[in-house]
Amino acid sequence: MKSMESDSEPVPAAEPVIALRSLTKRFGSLTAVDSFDLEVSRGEIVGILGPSGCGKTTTLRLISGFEEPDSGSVWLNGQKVAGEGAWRPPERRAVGIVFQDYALFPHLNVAANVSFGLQNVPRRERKGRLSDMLDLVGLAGLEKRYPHQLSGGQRQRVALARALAPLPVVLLLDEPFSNLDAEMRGEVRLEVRSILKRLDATAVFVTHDQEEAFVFADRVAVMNDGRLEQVDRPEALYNKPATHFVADFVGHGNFLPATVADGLAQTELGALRVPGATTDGRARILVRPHDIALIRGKPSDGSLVVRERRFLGSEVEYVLELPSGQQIISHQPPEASFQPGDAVGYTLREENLRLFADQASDSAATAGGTGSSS
Amino acid sequence: MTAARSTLAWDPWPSRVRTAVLGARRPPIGLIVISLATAAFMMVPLVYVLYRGLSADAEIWERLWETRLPELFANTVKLVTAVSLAAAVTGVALAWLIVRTDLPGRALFSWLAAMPLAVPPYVGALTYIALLGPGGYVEDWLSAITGVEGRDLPMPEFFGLGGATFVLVIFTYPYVYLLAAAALRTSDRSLEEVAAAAGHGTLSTLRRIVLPLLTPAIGAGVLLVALYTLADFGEVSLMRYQTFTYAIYQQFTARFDRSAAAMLSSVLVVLTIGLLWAQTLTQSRRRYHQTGSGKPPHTVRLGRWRYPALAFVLLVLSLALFIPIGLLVYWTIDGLTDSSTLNDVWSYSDDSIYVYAWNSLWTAAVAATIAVLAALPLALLATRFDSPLSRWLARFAQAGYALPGIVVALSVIFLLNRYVDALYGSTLVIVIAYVLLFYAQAHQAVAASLAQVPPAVEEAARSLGRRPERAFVEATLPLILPGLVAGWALVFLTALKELPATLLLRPAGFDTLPVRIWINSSEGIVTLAAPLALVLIACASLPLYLLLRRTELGFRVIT
Repeated sequence: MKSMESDSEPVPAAEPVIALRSLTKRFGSLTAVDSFDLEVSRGEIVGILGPSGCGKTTTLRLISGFEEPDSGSVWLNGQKVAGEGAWRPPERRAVGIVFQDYALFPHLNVAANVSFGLQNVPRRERKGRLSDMLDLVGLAGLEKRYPHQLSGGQRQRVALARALAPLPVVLLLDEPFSNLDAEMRGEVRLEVRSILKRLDATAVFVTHDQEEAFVFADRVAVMNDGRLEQVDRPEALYNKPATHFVADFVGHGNFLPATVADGLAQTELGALRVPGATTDGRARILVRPHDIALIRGKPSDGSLVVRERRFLGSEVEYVLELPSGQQIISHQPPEASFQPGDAVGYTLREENLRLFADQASDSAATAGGTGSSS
Repeated sequence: MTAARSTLAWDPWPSRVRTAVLGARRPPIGLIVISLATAAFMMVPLVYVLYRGLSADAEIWERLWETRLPELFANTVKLVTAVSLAAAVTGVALAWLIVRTDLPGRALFSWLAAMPLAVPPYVGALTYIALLGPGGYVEDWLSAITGVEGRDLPMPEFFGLGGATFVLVIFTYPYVYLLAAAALRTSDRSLEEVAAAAGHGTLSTLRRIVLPLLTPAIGAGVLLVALYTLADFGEVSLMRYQTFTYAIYQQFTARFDRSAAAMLSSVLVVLTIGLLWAQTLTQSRRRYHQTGSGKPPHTVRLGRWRYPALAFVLLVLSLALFIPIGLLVYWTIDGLTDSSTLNDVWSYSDDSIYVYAWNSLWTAAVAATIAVLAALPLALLATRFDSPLSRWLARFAQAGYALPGIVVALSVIFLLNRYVDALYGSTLVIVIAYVLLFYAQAHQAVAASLAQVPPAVEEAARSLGRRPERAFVEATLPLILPGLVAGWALVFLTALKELPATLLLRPAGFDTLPVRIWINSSEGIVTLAAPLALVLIACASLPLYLLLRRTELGFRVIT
């Protein structure tokens, strides 16, 4: 069997370490992954973000070889490992996996767990590799402990060390932080990210937590119903969502119904000059909570009324009501204090607004329901 | 704390990981073939008995219906009902007192209360016939006090339904006790706290909260008791109570009426299947999802009921353990003082206690080993590759669960006579019968332990460079080993005590401990039976101890 660390074949800089091409996987009548395309370059961390059941874990399992694609292909390091007649079983893919529940071997101690994948490393090198790995994840001295004697965070680091020890071509992480306490999660995330960056590791992870995806990933692929909605840097996803789904799923957002004519979008907040308002018709305008600034004592054309005020610490969240009854969310610095019942004026950062044309009347109906949700 | 033991305490994998990947990939063809063969083999006696019953002459059916069937049916149903009810009450009461109250000595009692499982009921029958039967110790003692002639004493009839029920209850209640105790230990105490906060006292809480939540466990325990009672032959034959098993034995050995024996067997099997079916019906309707708080349930203070409760527990344990075993020890010592008995029992010959013990041990051990090895592929298929096919195969393979020993023995005899005459009269046949009878226990133990190992552990091994077989050996096998041992111990324990199949299938001159005990008991030679029974109980205690020590899995395995 080929050793896992035989990723020494020179890879051209342009060659992605992972390439998924029109990858499709069906379970009975359900299409879990639908013509999915993704490329990951060397040293990059890509997060697959989506609601539960969107097919993100299946995508990961297609890469690792625990599922076989129905069509499309999986390429690792320039070699086709699955699809279109090719098949390489998981044990020969040199893919490291951090499982959601870690899947540590309970009958083996930390040292044996981490060394498990080193069977093809010459015996004299194993010890060094083991101690390197334990140093890397900060578990030196715990070699003799068994998994049940470790804390959740320590188990997670053992899982990471075990997956990294054979120096895999790529590292896959399935909801890696979901089993940690909320307080620990932030810290562990940054720690793991810095470890991966130090190793220049190529990694794909799966999460349903947008904040996690933003903090941990270099690029985020948003997935919905088995399809890729958008893949981009977190800032770009937030600021320039390509689809209504991305805009809604990533960050808080208000959607204002609008009618576009002559390059202007007519909304309840006035005629807005929105980027991309070129085709006439019905549309929806995304207004992020920070893109609307409230002004005291200046009720402009349409009057906004404060319905609720929620103190969040560094800022204050207001629930505002439009004349139509639609509610929108706005975040303001704590200095400006408005009270429920106040009528307020506003200004909008028009250059930040995004427009999504309504495709069909039924999609408009569903979008309308989520209009003021966050 | 050893590593293997501590893995049991730690269940790091929530069930959602398990279900997510099941059925994802197709099972290897070899696994399917082996599983098919196993299931087909295990089905043979059941299919054969039902076939014989259905294909029999309507005339014989009519004759049976007019003569034996109504009485046998009524007797069997009466016995099963009486034993089930009494065992349920005894088992639940003991479990509650031992697990949930401040009963003195409850740590010791929690062990002792399960130990009657090591005493086969036919051994119990032997001791109680000598004690309570006509001309027994109690009668002698009473007539010595009162001066009334023994047969004139107003003693209740011991043989028959009353005696048979009494003896079966005191040796089968541990099934209910074990399952109820396990459920009581893990039950959520906050529910009881809610009841207490709502103003319910101990008894009211017990009736409204504790017992209803316990119903599934009690139901499972009672099912085991009922199945045992339906299948029991040794005890009812010694207690001279006519049930199906006893009648089948008589038809076969005394009247050589094979057709009638086969037909009675098919009725008995239908009864057993009906019982199992009723159980699945009630089980699916009454399933409570318990979300444990992780806090141990609180202890009820017995107060002035302390000593009455203690007296009750001691009474049950005396009846089930101290008195029978004491009597066996007494008889054994008595036999030592008599030189001819001493010679009969303890000197070595081809026909001695050592040979019987060895025969019992090796047949049970070989059968247990075969059963566990046979269960491995099928359990793997059923837990790792969930599909209608694998579910049905697993169900079919456990057909022996519904088969009383005497029925399996009969169908093995019929089939061997007809097709493989060469095997008839070889000890191998006994081993085959044990495997057919007790495969289900091995299967459940293996499947339960496999279900506790999430596929992700195997996948982790594969992603770290192991081929599927290596991943199984290195990652899964060490984790299920305790379950395999438990399954082995369970089959070994049950096979060790098995009487009717051994009695009918043994080659001439091949005796096991149960066979010899039964023969000596039937002839009333207690000094010969007692030492054999003690050795049998000692041999059975070891696997039972192993099973009880593995609290978590052990309790589940016994079902």
